[in-house]
Amino acid sequence: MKTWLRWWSGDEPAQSLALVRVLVGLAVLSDLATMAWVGALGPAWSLTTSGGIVDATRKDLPLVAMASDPALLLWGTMVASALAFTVGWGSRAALVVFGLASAQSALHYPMGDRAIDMLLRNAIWILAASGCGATLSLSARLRSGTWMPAVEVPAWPRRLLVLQLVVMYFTAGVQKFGLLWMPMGDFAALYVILHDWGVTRAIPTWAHNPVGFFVLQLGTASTLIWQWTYPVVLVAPALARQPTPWGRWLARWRPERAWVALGVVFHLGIAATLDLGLFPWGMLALYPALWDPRGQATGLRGT
Amino acid sequence: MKRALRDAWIAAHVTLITFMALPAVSRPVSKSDIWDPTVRAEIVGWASTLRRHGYRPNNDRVIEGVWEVANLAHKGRAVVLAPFDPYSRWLGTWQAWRMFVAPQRFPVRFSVEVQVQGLWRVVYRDVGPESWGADLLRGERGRSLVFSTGWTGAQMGRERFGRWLANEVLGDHPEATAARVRYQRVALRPPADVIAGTPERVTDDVSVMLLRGEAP
Repeated sequence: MKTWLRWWSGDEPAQSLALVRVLVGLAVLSDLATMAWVGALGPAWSLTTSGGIVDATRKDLPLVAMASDPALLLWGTMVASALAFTVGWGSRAALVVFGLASAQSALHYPMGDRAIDMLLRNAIWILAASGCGATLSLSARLRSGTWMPAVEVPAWPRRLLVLQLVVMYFTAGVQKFGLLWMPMGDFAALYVILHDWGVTRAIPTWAHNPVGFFVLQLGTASTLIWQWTYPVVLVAPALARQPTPWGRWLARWRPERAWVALGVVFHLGIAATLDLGLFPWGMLALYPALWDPRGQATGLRGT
Repeated sequence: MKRALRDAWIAAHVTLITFMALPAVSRPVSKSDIWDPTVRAEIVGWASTLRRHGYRPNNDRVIEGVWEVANLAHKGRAVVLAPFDPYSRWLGTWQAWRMFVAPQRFPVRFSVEVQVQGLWRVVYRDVGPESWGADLLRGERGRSLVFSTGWTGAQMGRERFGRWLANEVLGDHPEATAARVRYQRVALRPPADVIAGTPERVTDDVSVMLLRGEAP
């Protein structure tokens, strides 16, 4: 119990959380702009009565009672609040408004609520409860005359974000039980995914030979092993605090950094080969949370 | 007091996100979900793996068993999570990390067609030069709409999205008397077949049609 409480106590510089706030804001703003640009607002959030596909007879959508076309109301609210928390003006209130609007958008059309929308919404609530607006923000500039005052904020929100990332990667890994992820399925998952026109950027003709196919098999196995073992990011820094040879080895080599670095490579690889929209950029926007601003280690170590 | 409340919230939130993230189906599984070709191929594949290890499962019984277990797990999960439902619903804090669980072995080829003087003409094809509505349909949002409405069990979503899209295409083609969106499921070819130039095999062909003047 003491360890548990110690994990969630203590203060640290606010930069990591502030950086997450700004990057998440930029990612969602670019996604919302793209959504309007390609005309996806109608099918995603408009009611059948306004030319959309959301069932207008539903009684569980409060915005339906407030606006004849809630799509524009939702989109406008999300853009305005995302702008506000990105520049750091009334960050907490803006994050709460954005979170509520995003949750409403998910209720409007659950099939259009992507995994990254869910993850960023979870992050938004944690950021709203944090001191992420204390630095790198307009509020800080107005309050202290500088954009980046040296402020300490509670460390638990950043650690909760790290835990959220670990839960996401690990459970995404253990749920990859399709045969194609396994040796019995010839580790052909990436080959199949890259040929699915629903997600691929281009059919990988370079993989239509034994060497190319082997590269994708290697990628499939690596992805699975990396996700299954992602809890290393939490466990290694915790063990590194133990005064044992193993703890000293972990403290010296900090293997969790390899998992984080692989994550960056993984998401950049996804961005290059698959069209998953916001996903890789939204994920990378959360990565500053893995940076302990005291410069000690990633994860939950800095207590 | 404030700290105790904070600690209690963190404990409850961590418990909730961990429990919600445990593997489970997202909604009750219908028979049509189970008969989706990709799902069926997975189950049959696992059954033959078991056969190689000396077990003798019957494919239909395995499918029936998977259906029962999946629905039982869903019901149990729903009971445990019921008290948290308002929290997760209004804050949208779900934890569904089912990403590429089983890659699509039978992806959908999607097209939009209009009928002019009795003949169907393709105006959009996901892999092809026809590009009406490509900004939306080739973008990630459009692709995910096509993907989610392309599942065998997604009739209602497919019908809504299909009629909306057909209405849009009729607006842009005043000469057309009808429009339809078409989901053709193909069997993905293994590398050897691709190299040999074996053509794609269509396994399913579903379309949603809208006549001019009909409500979308």
